[in-house]
Amino acid sequence: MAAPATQQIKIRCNDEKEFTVDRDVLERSVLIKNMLEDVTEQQDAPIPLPNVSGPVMAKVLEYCTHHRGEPLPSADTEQSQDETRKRTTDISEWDQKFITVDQEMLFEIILAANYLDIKSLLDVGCKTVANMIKGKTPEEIRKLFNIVNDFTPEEEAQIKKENEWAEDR
Amino acid sequence: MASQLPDDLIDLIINNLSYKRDFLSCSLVNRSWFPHAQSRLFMAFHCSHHVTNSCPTPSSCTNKIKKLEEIVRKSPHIAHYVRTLRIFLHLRWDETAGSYTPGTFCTWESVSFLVPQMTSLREIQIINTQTYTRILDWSGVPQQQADVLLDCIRRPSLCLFRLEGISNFPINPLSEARSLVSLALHNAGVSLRTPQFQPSGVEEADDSATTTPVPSFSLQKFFFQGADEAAGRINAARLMTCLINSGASPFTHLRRLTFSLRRSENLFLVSVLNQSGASLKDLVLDIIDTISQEACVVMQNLTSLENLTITFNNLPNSNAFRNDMTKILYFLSKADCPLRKIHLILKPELYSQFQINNDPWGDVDNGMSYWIDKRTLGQVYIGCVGLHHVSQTPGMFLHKSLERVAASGILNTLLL
Repeated sequence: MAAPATQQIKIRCNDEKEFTVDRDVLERSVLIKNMLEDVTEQQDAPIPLPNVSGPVMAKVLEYCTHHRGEPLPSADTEQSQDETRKRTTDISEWDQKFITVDQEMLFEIILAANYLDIKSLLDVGCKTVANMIKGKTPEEIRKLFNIVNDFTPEEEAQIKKENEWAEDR
Repeated sequence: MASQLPDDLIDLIINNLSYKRDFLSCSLVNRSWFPHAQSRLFMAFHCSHHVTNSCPTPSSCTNKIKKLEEIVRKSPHIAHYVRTLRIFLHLRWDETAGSYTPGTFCTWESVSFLVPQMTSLREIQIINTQTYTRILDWSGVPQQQADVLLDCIRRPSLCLFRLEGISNFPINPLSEARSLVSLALHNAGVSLRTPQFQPSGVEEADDSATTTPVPSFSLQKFFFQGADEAAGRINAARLMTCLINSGASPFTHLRRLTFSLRRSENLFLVSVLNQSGASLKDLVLDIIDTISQEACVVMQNLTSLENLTITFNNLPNSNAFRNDMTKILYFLSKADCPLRKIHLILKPELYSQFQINNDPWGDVDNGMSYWIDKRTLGQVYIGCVGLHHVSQTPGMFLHKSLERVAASGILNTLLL
């Protein structure tokens, strides 16, 4: 018996770019999964995704296609990870290669993963940024991410003084 | 782009860091990054200082507490960052009383100022530093200190409470900790001398000093090891049983139970298993002497159990071991639970003692057969704590099971 055909779903990004994707790939996104579950009748109109652009969505779909079929993290696993507080910044080889993009795209992917609620992709993005931060001084971090120092000298001195307590531990 | 990230994403990124130096750096990047990084520097506060009579000069530890007090007086937000509070209590020899009594903190003024400011506490651990040599009687803790510490336990934000090496602890303030999900009574006893729980459906008695509301917390993890002092041990179990009888249901969502079982605590184990039957996934049972028939029977309610570890510590003979083991496995098979891991551990002294008589593992064969046929089992450990030589390993006695286990090809791991 032939396997049932996978349902194809259309999505439309904020730059009008449209994608037609297998439902199980799209369901890596909890946001889209919930949207599809709420729709009882089959609709031809594409699902609008106003917070994601075409190029970013293409990257997100590349990730979702590669990880299709893998179990979605349950509330339990999230909780146990939180409980053990093991912060590991290890990223699998494929994910590492996938996330090797310019900084703007990296942050766009993080924002899209957050909006679309794709926890594993969000983790990969956040771990990558954390790896970039490791061992750097505040000035180096600011320079790396083009962040403006908005502290007054007094505020900075005050924070340093407060932090001394933790520094001594 | 990084400066446009919302707060929750900055927090997620910083959460992936682990070194203090990285938190220190991130706290000085800009105003958006500052609270997320600084909060991690002050997440845990350990109060481990000396008692007055043994601490004539301020130690580095007491200096630290005093310094934190200074910081918090100037920057009160720091105290709100503290999530974990560990208080270490010490016992000191009291010449007048001729006994050990809880010591007084030489930095008590700082501690009593700091602790009430910690409004976001999620974990409180009260630990006797001499846990394994002397149990600390809570009733000897100076009233003012006891009041401040008990007040912390009433926090609605509290998720974890651990009590170690302390007896007569008045557990009723926990009834107000609605978010409590993890409770550990480690070598500890809780007090029955405190007000009784108000049974559900009964209107509050006129004398409100003798009753307290039924606890509304629902635990996910429970660690129970009564204090070795007989009274403390029995008190802990009796009080918890009394809590259940009063209509509270703290174990209906329990996922992990670690229970050190003495004969007198079988009734309590039955109560816990009765409530947690549908939710319990991990059961770690340390059987000190024996498990009752009733406690074995109630195991047929454990429909979600995935991981089982049982340690046998003090059985009179190999027949007692066989009886207990067979009963447990038989009633568990009735539960039809998706058991994935079984660890059966016998104390080495018992093993050598039983080996002389006969093969102690023979009857495990029958009990194990069900799980082999069910094909959920992924890991089996059968052995003794502390035995490393293959020639002494009892697994070799598991003749029939071992052959069937090997033939079934279902196991990922077989540790003998």
